[in-house]
Amino acid sequence: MRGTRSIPQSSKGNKGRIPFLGVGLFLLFFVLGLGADVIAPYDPWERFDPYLEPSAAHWLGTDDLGHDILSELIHGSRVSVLVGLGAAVLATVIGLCIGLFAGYYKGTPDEILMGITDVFLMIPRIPLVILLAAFLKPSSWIIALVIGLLWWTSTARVVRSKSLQVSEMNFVLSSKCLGFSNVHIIFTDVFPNIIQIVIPKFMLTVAAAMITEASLSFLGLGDPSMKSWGMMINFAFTKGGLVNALWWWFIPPGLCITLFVYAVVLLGYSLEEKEQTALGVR
Amino acid sequence: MSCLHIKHLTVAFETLTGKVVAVDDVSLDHEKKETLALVGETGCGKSIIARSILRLLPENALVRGEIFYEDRDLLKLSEKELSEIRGQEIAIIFQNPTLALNPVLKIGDQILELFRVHKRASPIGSRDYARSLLDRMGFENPAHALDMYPSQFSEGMNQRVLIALAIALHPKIIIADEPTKGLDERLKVGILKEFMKIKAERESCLFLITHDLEAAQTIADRVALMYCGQVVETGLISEFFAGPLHPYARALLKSLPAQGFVPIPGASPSMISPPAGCRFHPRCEEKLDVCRHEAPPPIEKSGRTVRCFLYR
Amino acid sequence: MPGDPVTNLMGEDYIASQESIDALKAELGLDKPLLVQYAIYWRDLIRLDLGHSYHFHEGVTQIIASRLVWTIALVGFSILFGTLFGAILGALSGWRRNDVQNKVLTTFFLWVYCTPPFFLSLLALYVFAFEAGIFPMRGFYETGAFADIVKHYFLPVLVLSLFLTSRNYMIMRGSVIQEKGKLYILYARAKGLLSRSILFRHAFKNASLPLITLIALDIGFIISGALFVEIVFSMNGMGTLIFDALLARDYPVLQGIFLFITVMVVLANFVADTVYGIIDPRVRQER
Repeated sequence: MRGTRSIPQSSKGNKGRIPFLGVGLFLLFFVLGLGADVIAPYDPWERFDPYLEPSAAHWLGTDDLGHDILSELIHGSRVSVLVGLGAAVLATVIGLCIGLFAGYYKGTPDEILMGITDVFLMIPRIPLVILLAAFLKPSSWIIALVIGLLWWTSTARVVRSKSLQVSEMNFVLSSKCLGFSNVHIIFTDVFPNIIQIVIPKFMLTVAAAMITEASLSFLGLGDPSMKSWGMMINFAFTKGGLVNALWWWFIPPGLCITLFVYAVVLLGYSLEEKEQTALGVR
Repeated sequence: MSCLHIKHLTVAFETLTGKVVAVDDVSLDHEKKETLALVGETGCGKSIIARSILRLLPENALVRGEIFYEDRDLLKLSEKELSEIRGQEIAIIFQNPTLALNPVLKIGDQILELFRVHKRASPIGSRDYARSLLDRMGFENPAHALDMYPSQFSEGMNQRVLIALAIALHPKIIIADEPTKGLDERLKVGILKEFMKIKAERESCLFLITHDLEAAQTIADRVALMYCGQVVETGLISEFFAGPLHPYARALLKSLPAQGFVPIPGASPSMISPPAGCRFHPRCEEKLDVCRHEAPPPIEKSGRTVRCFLYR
Repeated sequence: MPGDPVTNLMGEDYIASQESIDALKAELGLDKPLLVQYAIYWRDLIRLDLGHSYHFHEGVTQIIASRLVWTIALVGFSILFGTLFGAILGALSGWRRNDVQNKVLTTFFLWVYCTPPFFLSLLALYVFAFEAGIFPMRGFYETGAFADIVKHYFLPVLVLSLFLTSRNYMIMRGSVIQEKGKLYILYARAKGLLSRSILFRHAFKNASLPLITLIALDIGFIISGALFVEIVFSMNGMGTLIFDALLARDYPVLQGIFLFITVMVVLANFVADTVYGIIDPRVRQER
């Protein structure tokens, strides 16, 4: 090939690259949460001398009641994982069902379901969640339930638009001609094609749920029977951790929340990118 | 001196499935005042050539070769120098007119934008001129049309807007990339008539990219036939249709409805791993042994060129 | 809503005589049948009288009104900065190649996006107010002087703006990346426009459409951010009002606030719909 100049470089592209940081962090917190009883140096409910500064015995010192902060921190993973995953699973299931049915049946069912979705979209969620958490019994399960019942809207919309698309495809039409029941078609033909876009949405819902749980616990509306990062910061704030410069009371739990959410969001975004690359959008 | 001198142009793309050479060592001469038609199947690389001229390719394109316009190599110019040529000296008309226009801006604004970018003052850079352009393009109420949006017009009308933009600044070259694709017969005829008018005014050279042989026959003076990223035959339009040289050209003409509608055997080759030797050989009825492993170079034959060992 | 208001007001431990309970109930209008209470509620609502707060001993409307100004100041400026910076930075980031500068900025905003707003506020408070002593610890002004108010408002507005910017940045960036690949962008280039002109004359307008929708839809997002910023910075706005009312089980105030928020949401959606319609002619045609 004769020629004088080649212009823009080829970009090998960084598609298909696994976000090692995201996966790593996620696994770290997941394992910490699962194995907290074994991993944590002490029982987080055991009382030692209060107000201890970080030392060899207590890497992050102790709080105002003498609990070892590092142990509390490790156990905090558990609540985040439970509420995060629990709420996201519930929200995704609801969103999936609504989206699938709306997109498949179209017409009036679609309008009704989307109307409901619109109403839920308009509701200011965090204030409502705070209200509900305040008046119901404070427990992680209730919190996960409430979050799950309110955070399904964005999944529903995305699933619906994809479901609309897929339902028009030939293999769905041929299934209909073959006489399969609608429900059967939805779950065997339409659903498998939707999983790919649902998973990134799921991850982002987990992230939102974790931040919400932490925020609720910060306000003192969390589950007092479980150690949560948000609650730790609540104690720091209300028991004078800030004015006494006891940074090890609130910075570690805050960092943990941020890191865990960051890991989840990274995973969510990279999965979304993969799906868009596969579609040829990027 | 020619309008355009394309020398050994090669364009490749790095994709997930491998390196695709979309345009392979293409050389074309576009003479002044003539209408050149670049013909070929969908996917043979002709649109890529059209876009390479104005350097409108995506970032992951690897371009080699030279494209001379009035003794300047377009591939070597800076983006700023190129932006002065685009729209003003070389204009392009895209395939999907409605998608080529910004849906949230008025037609008038998009036309005036062209004038503003190239700093043309009155009488050209004015609303009046824009209105007269639309009038010439057959809009019923041109003044009103200036305030409307692309979504309010049909494909055909939007295509006329693109043509209006292309001729507005009296460019030396107009590249029309599949201007009649997707239009129904009536619209097609209308658009082709427009091009005949432009040709008659003899202001610009027309570079027509199309898969429609009949359209090419109607307006073009010379034709270049592409297959799988290469130019396989060039020549005057009359000579081409009277007696095509390349076996692919012959098969193509036979496949026209008017000539018998005989399909070409075999399938279009993959651009990632094209056939060895002559790219057409798997589907050629007149192939020789040498065609299987050697790629034929362009061979001159009384003013025409053809890539085929039959003419060696 | 669980919990009898009167018992709450008097405190669970206070064992009052039946007469005093009845007297209080009569004063608060709780002795009339439920339906009548409901009717009175609507009558008062029209008169913009949202009732009387048990806890604060003031009219609910007055309480909300007095706190509202401060919250609006906080939220108003933050939305202004957040939308401006977020949209412009996000657009530039999405438009340009993904070089180091771009990656760093995106990672930074991603981090901010992942940080819960209460923690962001705490950090800011700790670092700038407590450690560095530049800004005051409590968000509410001490003297009425303008400079003083600015000093107190600086950190909260900074934090809330940062929070909103990060989200707008992400959305705008994604939106511009999507628009980048469209044909009209390429055609603008073919007409001779230079990169920056294309971004701001074409891509920006189209890309801002999803942003507008999302801003309106997610007023809840903005409210939640403001809520936590106010609480952490001890500001005298709606956020702390909600919190205090919650702890005291002050129903009238809570109902009033919730009603108010709902009205705000409806208004925001309406405004967004209108703005969207102004920008995108296709929507206007459908109507």
